Amino acid sequence: MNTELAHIIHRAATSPQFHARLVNDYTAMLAEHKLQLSQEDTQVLKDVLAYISGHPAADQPTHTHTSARPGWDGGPSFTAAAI
Amino acid sequence: MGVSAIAPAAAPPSAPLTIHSAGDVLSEMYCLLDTLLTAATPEEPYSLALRRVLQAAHASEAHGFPLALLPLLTCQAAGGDPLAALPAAAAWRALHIGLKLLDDVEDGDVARLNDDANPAQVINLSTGFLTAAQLALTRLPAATCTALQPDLLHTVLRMAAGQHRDLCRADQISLSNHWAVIEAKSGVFFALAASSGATCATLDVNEIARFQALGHHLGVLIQILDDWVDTHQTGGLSDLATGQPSLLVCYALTVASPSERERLQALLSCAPLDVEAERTARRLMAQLGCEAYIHGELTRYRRRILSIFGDNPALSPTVQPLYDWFLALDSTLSSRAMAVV
Repeated sequence: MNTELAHIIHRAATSPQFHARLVNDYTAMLAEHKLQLSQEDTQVLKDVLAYISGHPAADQPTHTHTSARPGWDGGPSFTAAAI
Repeated sequence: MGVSAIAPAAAPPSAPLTIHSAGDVLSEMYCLLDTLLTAATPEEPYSLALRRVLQAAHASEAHGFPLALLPLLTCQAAGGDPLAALPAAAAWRALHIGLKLLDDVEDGDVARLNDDANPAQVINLSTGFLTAAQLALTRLPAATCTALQPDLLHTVLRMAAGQHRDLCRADQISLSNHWAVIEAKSGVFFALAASSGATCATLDVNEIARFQALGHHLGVLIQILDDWVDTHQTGGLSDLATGQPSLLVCYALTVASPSERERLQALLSCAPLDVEAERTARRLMAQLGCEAYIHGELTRYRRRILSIFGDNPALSPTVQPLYDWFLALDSTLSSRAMAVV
């Protein structure tokens, strides 16, 4: 497991802009931030991006910075998909 | 992990053992353990106490999930008669129970779970189970016993090293350290279950390594789901309330901004005595993306496990029961994880 991936997931989960740019072209985005992920980590990232896209939190008002974002604690219904 | 798919094995002489037909075999395994635990001191109160623990463990498998089937099913999947792995399964289960007893003492859970329990007695009962694990291996053919003894003992040492790392990290919570603990405690332990079963069927080291990898990934998957459950328990039972580090806490502390980290640490320090602080900490962790992170890691390990079974949807009759057992385990644990939120 690599900590870099955890930070990317955090930014994708807390910043809709970051998430959207990753969805649009994760290869360019990772290169821009000088991030290198293994093939397996890249697949995990793609899974997580798709997961975030379908999450109710994705509809919350956008933030311009990466911080704790309301919406992820929205209730158990979506947790079924996480697990 | 560069592990090739499990090869179809030759069919055993009788109908394959499955999760649905395993009740009698598991009972036989517990009978063997009972004999091993009590033969030396049949009339002693110690034997009665060991038997009570064993019966509780049997009941928990009968009403929960039969983890001890793993060595039997990997033996079958590797081309052997699953009953040939019965002593290996008994050894693994005895080790499981013995280490769980020790873990409860080390985590301070003994008094919390039972007012009458005495930690010194629990440690002594653990000695009985750890000894029975080694005795069980002597019921195997000599060559298999000789092959498995060092594996079992090395596993205990690796798990103890993981536990030591866990016990020594009070002020040094980090994500990479927590992963090392998960792999050393749960990954290594389930790797032993799967590889010991395969060793009862084959001498092919590559084949055994495939099952070992399967067991390792299973162990990590189980621990991720356990961490999720333990973080979301209520009634003072959660890892937040008991001050235990979990994967979710380590993730949140790793990715949080300095101010968020400071706030989360303050909440976590109050959580053992303050339900509202526990609730707020959990909410902050969710806002930091814990759910997405856990989703990603569960997906990683499920994919690793499935890749070992291979892409062929038609598994051989000897491998299919192991695959079905994995699906049932994943479903059981996932349902448990969903029930706590």
